[in-house]
Amino acid sequence: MTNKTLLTFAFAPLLALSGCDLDKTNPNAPSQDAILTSRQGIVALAVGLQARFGSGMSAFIYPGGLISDEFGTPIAALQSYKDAEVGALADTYGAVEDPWNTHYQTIKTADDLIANAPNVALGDETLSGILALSYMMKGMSLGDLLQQYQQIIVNPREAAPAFVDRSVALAAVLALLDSAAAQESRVTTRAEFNGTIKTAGLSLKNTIFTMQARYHRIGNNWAAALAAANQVDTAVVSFMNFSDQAINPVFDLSSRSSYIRPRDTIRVAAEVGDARVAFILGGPTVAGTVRPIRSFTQYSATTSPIPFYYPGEVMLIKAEAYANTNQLPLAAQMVNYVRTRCGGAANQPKACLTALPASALTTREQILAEIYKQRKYELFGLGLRWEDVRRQGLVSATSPFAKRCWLLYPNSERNTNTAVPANPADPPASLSTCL
Amino acid sequence: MSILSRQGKLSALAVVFSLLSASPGLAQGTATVSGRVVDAAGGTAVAAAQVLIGGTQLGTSTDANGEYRIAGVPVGARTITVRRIGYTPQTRSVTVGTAINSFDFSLQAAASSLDRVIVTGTATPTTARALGTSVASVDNSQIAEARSTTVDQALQGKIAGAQITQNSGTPGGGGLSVRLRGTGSIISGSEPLYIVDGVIVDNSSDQLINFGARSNPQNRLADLDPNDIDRIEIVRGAAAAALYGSRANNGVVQIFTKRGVAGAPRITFGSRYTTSRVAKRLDLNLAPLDAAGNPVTRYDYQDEIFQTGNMKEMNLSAEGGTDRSTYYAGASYSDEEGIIKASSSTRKSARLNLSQQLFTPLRVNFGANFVNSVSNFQPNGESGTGVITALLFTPTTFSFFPVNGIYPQAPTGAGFANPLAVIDTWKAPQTTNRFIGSASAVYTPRTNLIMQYTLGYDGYQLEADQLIPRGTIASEPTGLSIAILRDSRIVNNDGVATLTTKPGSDIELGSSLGFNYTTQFISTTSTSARDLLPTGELVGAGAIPSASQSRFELATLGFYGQQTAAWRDRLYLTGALRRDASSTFGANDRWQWYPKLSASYVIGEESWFRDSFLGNVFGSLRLRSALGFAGNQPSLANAYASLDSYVKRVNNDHVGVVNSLALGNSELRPERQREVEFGADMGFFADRLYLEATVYSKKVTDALLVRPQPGSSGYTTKLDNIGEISNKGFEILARTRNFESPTVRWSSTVTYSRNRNRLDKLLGAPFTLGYANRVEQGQPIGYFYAELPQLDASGNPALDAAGLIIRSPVATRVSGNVGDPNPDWLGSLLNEVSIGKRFQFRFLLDGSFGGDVLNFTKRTLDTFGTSADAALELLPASDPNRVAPGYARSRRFFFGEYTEDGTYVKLREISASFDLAPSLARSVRAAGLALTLSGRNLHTWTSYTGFDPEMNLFGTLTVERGNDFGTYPIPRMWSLGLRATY
Repeated sequence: MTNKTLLTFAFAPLLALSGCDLDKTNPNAPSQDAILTSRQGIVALAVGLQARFGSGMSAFIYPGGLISDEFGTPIAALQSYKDAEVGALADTYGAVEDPWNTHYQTIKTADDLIANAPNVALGDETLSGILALSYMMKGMSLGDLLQQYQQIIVNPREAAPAFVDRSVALAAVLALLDSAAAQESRVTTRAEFNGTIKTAGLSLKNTIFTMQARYHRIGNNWAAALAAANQVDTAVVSFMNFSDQAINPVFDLSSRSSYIRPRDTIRVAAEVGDARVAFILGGPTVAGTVRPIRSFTQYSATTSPIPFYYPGEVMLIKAEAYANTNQLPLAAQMVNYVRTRCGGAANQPKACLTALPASALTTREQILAEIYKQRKYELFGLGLRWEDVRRQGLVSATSPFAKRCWLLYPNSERNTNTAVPANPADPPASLSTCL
Repeated sequence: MSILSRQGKLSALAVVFSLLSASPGLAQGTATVSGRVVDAAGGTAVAAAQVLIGGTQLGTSTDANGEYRIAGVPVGARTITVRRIGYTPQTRSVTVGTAINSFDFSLQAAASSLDRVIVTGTATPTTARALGTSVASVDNSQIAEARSTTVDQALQGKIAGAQITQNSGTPGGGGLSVRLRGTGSIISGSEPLYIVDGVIVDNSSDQLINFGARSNPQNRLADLDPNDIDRIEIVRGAAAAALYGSRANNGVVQIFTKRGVAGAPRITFGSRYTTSRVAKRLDLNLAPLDAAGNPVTRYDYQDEIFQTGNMKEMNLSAEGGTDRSTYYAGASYSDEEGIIKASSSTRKSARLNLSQQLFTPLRVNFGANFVNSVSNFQPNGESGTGVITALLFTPTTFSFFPVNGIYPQAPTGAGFANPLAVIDTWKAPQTTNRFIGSASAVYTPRTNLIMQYTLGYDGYQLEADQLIPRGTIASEPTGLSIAILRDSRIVNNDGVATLTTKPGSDIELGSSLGFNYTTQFISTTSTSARDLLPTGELVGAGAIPSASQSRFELATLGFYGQQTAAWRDRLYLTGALRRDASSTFGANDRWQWYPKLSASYVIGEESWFRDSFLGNVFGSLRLRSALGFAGNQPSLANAYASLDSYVKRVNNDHVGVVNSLALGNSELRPERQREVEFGADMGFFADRLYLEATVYSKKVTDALLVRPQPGSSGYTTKLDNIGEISNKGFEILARTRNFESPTVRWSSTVTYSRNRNRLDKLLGAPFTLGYANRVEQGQPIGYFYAELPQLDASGNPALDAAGLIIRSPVATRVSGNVGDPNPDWLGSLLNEVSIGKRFQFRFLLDGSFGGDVLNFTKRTLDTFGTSADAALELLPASDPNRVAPGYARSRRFFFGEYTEDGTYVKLREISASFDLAPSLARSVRAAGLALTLSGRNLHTWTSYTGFDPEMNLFGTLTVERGNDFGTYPIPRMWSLGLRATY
């Protein structure tokens, strides 16, 4: 009896401890393993990649828009927006932190997919689609970053990632886009990918070619830019779609919160009859904190799509490539094509202007000036304006086009990463291309 | 870890005493031993005294008449030991014969508590003299006399080294914060671990529904009925709590419920009626004129909001048993109305504790406690829907009274509510059904071996609801119904075995091995719906529903060993080591060591000491010191912070995932505390003055903080062990027996505590929590940091031409230290007087000195022109008291203008009890009948201008202390109680 009780006592703890489990899984959120090593996980992550890219589009559009001549803010209390509009930044401002952080979050997801999707049984159709998407969005994110910061990190997964200058970054972007193109062209049909993974409005193929054209243009590789642009079907508009659960982030900043609105100068400076003005803005002119502004009509609903690009950009890249490769008549023809486009679906800006006479588009300088002018209207609200201002050498402390060259390196990165370079002297003393 | 019932403790002590006694003779037969235990001074019965027969496992407790009876005692030479908290224990050698054995004892009251038994923080029950640390204990008389609603309220002002604050006056407790020897964490919570009869219990106060305080207006300890409590032990830091490992950084509070006293059934019936009133009212702008000088009607809605609250309580208990089995059964009901209309709390509780000696060496104990509590809350504080908050924001000229049955919308914004509509039409009930159960077995196979096992369970279902009917606030035009269900359970398994050996006549060794395994589970399901049916109340009445769910599981496993050595009952050395693991720690840092060392020397009992001059100064003297380590787990919200996780992210038409922005930390460790304490327990003047003094130094390393990550990594934060916090302090407990005569006794208890808190290391930038509570390296945690005004030549805020305080342009604004909510010291004074055998009087003063309070209530009143100060701006221009218009509002940026000295002394408790004449009691067939008139928080001495400097807007949160902003005031309570025993 006593021995039995003693035994019971000795074993009761063992019984209790046999149920010990110190490795708990998080029921509220799947683990890294569950996502990166399973088919469902990789598929869900590919959806998440697009969600990150989509919600991060505003972080490319608004800081450059405020610093260049696109946007103003109506709210005096928004110190950081007001400051950005006059080129004054602090490294803690959202306009400085947001582009950096959101783009590298997208890149993190793209890297997760690039590293892990090939190890999971997905089938070639879906795998090639996911990889094409991942390379493309990583390339686009780096491309956005190199238009905002003087130096960036191109390999954030490395142990001590280095900051590289623009030419290295540009090469990295183009290499990623080449990988995307290779994956995209490997397979012709993708039922699962197109049906359940890819956002409905995205034309993968056309977007990859357009991005190749966009970044070859930035690198002044005119033949390559033209070759890529020629492969784009300009009848297609490639959109990021939004819903009530995943709303258009520019709408959120503009029409919903009124943090940013288009400057009225875009309307004042427009040619009479330019139909793109009404596409961009509307309503009465009101006083902004720095300049007059109007309501933003381009993204007027929570579900308004944001284009990955407008076909007008492809046409104007072609025109610029022709102009820079001494094919001036073709360049002039393409410029006038953009000027005179009119009608059709209202999903892109169309000028509906008259063609310019040949005399106005004779020299390379005339043509390039007209291309930049058309780009300003054609590409409004896409975040591309600041780069064009730099390219034209119009940045200075007193320039009406842009009062600084680059965003500061974010405070949060500086506090946690010793590799962050010193901020460049900004703004430049006289008109500059910043390079 | 050792968790024992009283009966377990009895057996344990029996083992100890069997070893100390002369070698037991062979049993030639058994007899029954009985007798009576009385107080030496008054001759009154001493109930619940432990009576132990040396050399056996036999023992019992005295009944209400002080009588005991133990059957089956082997005849021969024996020792009988009698002990009771508050008395000097007595051991007498007797000879047990076969005939009647009656031994009476007369115990001397002792201010010294060296021989009280301590269970908490030691592997096996031991006397206080053997511990190198100071363990506070509070017995049931101190708890019952507090006449408080909750157990933690009853502890206010009774423990040196504890800062116990009531954060609001909300019925059902009001949310109590307990800080033992300072704040030891920033984001992982600073509340102690609570244990009831060996069961680890939940004391959470998570905000499930936003009532404007970022934490719940009630902490779950409020579910315990103070009437059931026998005593409470409080272990204040790592030195004493090392055996609790990773859960003990903030100390341990162990609550023992009544187990029943052997004897004839004893039935107690108590009934109490209480009224509560608001102690102070806000001074509002009741100027008869408006800014233009025109007459205007002004409203003071405090008349409409506050009421006199009535509270009814009833409790019934029965206890009794034999020397082999005892029982305690208790049931209680309380129904409390708040001092704000439509707020209330009820609690129904039933408890059954059973103890049975199955065989001579085996005793089993069971405890079961069921509680149903329902509280009806009101939004307050920083919620725009707050009832008091509405007073602060709304111009006093605005009429909230309904017109044609429609309540006017508050003029201050869509998110602000009409307080009368809230009182009349909103509902926010919070219902808890809770069961706390325990089963334990104590087995003593040999006289020097004791083994015990405890299984504990604490589970509750809590439903928090809120109903905002249609059309009662502009921000919710179609109404909102919320129901949040929480399911919580904690299961703990504890086992410990102790072997006692006596290698020499002067030395006794105790070796213990133990384990404990605790699992915790919390699931929360939130549902809500908008667009309600006009008369619908539940979520189902809404047309637009939404829902979410979260679930957390934790497991903690620990093993420990302890070795004690006692030399001549004078010198005690203890060493212990715990090995601990928690599921919350990173896989790479899962197992942690927590050692402890302590020494205690009862030097006053050395003959050389007694014979020297020191013996004339000290009646008794004990020196003690201890060093120990303990840990603090990440809070429940960070239970999975060691893992990399992925979160939902919706894109257009598909649902996806992305990595969580919080990077998992596979090296996550507990916050680790090292505590050293030194102290002395001193008796003077024949122990009429007894002093316990302790100095301590606590150092927390690996304090958890959110560490920013480089954005380029794709993450923003990581929970990391990067902070260091120190708390250094000094505490004194003094008990005096001021006057003693056969008819009059007067005794006092004084506590003094002083703590200095400092954040020694903070990797990264300082930050502010709440409104101004700053976390900054080199400063006390939570000091007030705010924008400073420019000063004029005399050091006052500089004024502009219009007489308003100047605010600097953004670029030149400077912020700095404007106060500190951490008190310089805490003190209390308890006086107890008994006159004759039938009248008792006591009062407790409880004070906090030198802490600041940020009076955000006043700031808001000033900002919105609703303060009495703003009324001065409306005086005629000729009036000498007139203040520049806009002056009050111009102060609003400078919180330093609103930090006030929060020093207070409260008349925390006062009571007078009268035992009615026995003849009267007999006329209602009762054995005793007592009438008590008592008061709680009746008066506050303070220069603070708001409702009450004790309150805190942010409830039980750790860093955000000392904020007053529209918080539910703590009421003054008078009560009259009647108690009958049968």
